[in-house]
Amino acid sequence: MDRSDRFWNPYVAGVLLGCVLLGSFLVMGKGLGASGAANRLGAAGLDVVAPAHVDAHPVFGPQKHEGRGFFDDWLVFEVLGVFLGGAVAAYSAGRLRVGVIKGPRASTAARLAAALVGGVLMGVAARMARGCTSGQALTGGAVMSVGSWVFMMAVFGGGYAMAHFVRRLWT
Amino acid sequence: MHEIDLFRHSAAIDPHLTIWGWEIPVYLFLGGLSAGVMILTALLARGEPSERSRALRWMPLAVPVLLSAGMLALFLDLAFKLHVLRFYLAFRPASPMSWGAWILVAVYPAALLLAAAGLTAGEARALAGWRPLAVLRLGAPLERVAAWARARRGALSSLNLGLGVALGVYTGILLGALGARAVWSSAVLGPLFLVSGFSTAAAFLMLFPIGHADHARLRRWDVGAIGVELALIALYLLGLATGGESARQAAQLFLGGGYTAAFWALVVILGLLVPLALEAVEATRRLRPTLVTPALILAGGFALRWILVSAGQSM
Amino acid sequence: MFATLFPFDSLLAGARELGLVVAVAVGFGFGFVLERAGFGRASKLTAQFYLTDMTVFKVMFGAIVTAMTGLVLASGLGLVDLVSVSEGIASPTFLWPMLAGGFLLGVGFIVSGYCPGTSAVATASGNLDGLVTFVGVILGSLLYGEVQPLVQGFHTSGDLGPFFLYQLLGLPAPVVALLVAGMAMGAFLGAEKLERIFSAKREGLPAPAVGPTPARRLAFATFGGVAALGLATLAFPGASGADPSLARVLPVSAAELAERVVAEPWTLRVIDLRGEAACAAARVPGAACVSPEHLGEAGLDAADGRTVVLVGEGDLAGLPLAARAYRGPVMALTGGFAAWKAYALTAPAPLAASATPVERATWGKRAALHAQLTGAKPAAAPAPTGGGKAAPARPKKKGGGCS
Repeated sequence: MDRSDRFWNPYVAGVLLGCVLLGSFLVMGKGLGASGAANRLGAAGLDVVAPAHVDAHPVFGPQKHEGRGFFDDWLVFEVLGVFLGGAVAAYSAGRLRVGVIKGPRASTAARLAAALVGGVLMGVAARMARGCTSGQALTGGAVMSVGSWVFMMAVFGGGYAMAHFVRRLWT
Repeated sequence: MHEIDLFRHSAAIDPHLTIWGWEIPVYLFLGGLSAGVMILTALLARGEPSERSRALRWMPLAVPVLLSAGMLALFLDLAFKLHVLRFYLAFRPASPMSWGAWILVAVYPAALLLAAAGLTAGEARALAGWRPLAVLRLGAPLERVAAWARARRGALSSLNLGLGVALGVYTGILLGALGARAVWSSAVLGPLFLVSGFSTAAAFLMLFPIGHADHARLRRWDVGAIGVELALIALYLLGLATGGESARQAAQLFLGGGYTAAFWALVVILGLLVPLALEAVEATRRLRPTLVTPALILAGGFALRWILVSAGQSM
Repeated sequence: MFATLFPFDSLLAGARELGLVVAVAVGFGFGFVLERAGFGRASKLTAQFYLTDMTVFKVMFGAIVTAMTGLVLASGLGLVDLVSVSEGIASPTFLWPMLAGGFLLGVGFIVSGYCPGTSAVATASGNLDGLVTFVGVILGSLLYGEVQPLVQGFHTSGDLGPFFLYQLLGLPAPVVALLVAGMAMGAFLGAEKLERIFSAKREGLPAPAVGPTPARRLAFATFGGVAALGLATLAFPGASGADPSLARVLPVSAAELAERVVAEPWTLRVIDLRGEAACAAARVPGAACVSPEHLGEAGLDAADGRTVVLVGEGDLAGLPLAARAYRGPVMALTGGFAAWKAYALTAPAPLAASATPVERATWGKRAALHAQLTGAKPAAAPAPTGGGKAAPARPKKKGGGCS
């Protein structure tokens, strides 16, 4: 089921990722992230169907009216880059193919349902914590922010706590 | 369409006029795409019909479809829709729009004939037997036309090649005709839109099952086209940056101004550099082609036209 | 010093647009490395939580330690100011939402198989489950955005502001970085042991692609080396202490400023950074009240020949980002508004009768300025006793009626 399984050494990948992160710090004074972009994309979509609601909303309204709109944001362009980089990396490693990754005991429907539910939970959590693992844990952890380290340990805590209950999905 | 000539560029004094919406970029994109398809199908029209893939042989049929969709968009933009007839009552050599109107008239039969030339004898017979055509007694004439076209495949290819180039250049010159807009007052736009049309057409063709050899050929040509496009974009910006005051302001839109991020991220990185990398990897590592590359090229081509039309009206 | 080539938050138009393009390049690198590390696959990510494949842990902490030690080193060398860059990069600490949010994200992670960033990489690789996860993240953030006004109390609870480990521990940043690096390396060794134990337990699972030890040695050497270098910079004099961003800022005393404000106010552009309430109550004449967050909109990207004078509560801790790109001279009021108040808004103490002519001159100038700036009648200088050669020079009253 798994195709080309040649991945980079985790230590090498970690150092390289750290270099990308450091470069971003030094050149832009900004880190990485993903959930912020998801938030703006959602708000932009909501604006298409309910513009009046968005205009009046204390959270989404400023995103629309400040700067040049929803997409005028560092993270939106960064996530665009993530998609492109991921696609090129996957393609050049022979891993670019449509499919579903799941454990041996799970059905595709269950897997996709879990993906949706988990995604929603993460969307809520990332807004609450002002970031996700890329933004808060990785970026904030690297600048030694206390909140980020607390967040990071809580993420691992939550994952390990829940692992037993969803083992049917993965093992 | 109301045309208003402005000979000033003071944003403080002149009203902000956005005359053109989505219709014009769509028209320019589909026009360039059709031009490229005509050129590519002409270049690839070699060998006996039975040797080439069916998708490639029938591809010229896409030209009338794409072009009609584009012209529908253009039609929707016209304020006085019935005036479109006037285009076909005269020919003014100095007007690119007049050229365009008559080129479009010539494109339809040329493309259809090239498609007919791509039909094998068996396919022509099967098509002739199709009920609606048989009822209208068009079956036999169709077969004769197909045979006639098949015999003159070379000449038809040349005709399509010429008309395709003319169409591609016309889409670029169309903007340049409105010289008051500094962003469009560059002679490089014509070749740029032509090459962009070529590249997007190659991407379009790659979406279909056209056979491995032709796909590889298209990929090689596309790599070259992307390289030329990058050079032309550089020339375009250089030309603007070294021009007069309004031209320099136009160049600033893409070099630090309001359209910088969208232009470089969507047109250059997403539409040109990443597909170039993907195609290079595809060639060197002999990978199976992916639909991601053509999708990105098509998106980038559309973004190029959208951004140029929008930027041109913003100053 | 290059101290962030495109300071993104300065909101100056040109830098921001180019910054957005750089963002695409940064994201490209991020996505590329993540995919090649195997994070486009839920199976590899979730194996972390069954202890069979500790790649997530290694990559994440490897990246954190690399960037952390590199940043500390750069700061020690004077290239950037650690605290101001960190405050721009990380959000302030909100203890309870981050704790709860972290736990919830962990749960979502193991259920969906991805985190938001890796779901984007997975989508780019063609994995539909990644796409569904990303859509879920969008929906979840919309959901929270809708209810956020209702839970605003919780959302902002535990507000410790920008708070860093080295502030918490009271140790210099390079020391903390070294400690964290050391802890991480120990954790990596422990993680590998766990990997071996749990993989052996589950026979039949493919062994994780743990690279040869040379890679680990190289990584550890990098962490340790950079951290040690960062520590070494503590020994350099002046490397820390003064904010490097203030290097181009000229100090101006309250006395100088008072003179210039009265004599040639058109050469100055005074910006009061104290906050609207304080500024509205009392400020330097002609000062614009701009709170630091809105400094980007103050139009500092156009140099108009004036000298910008920044006035804070006291001495400025660092040059605000938006002011860094101003092409003219930038000055900071030494001692801030407190010094201004003490000099210009407080009547000078009466002159002793035995004052020297120089003292008389400075006193007289100050008295006149004080009168000019507060509208109080100027105090008279006491007659000089002893052989004072010249009467105290009376400075001409300058300026128009508007002060």
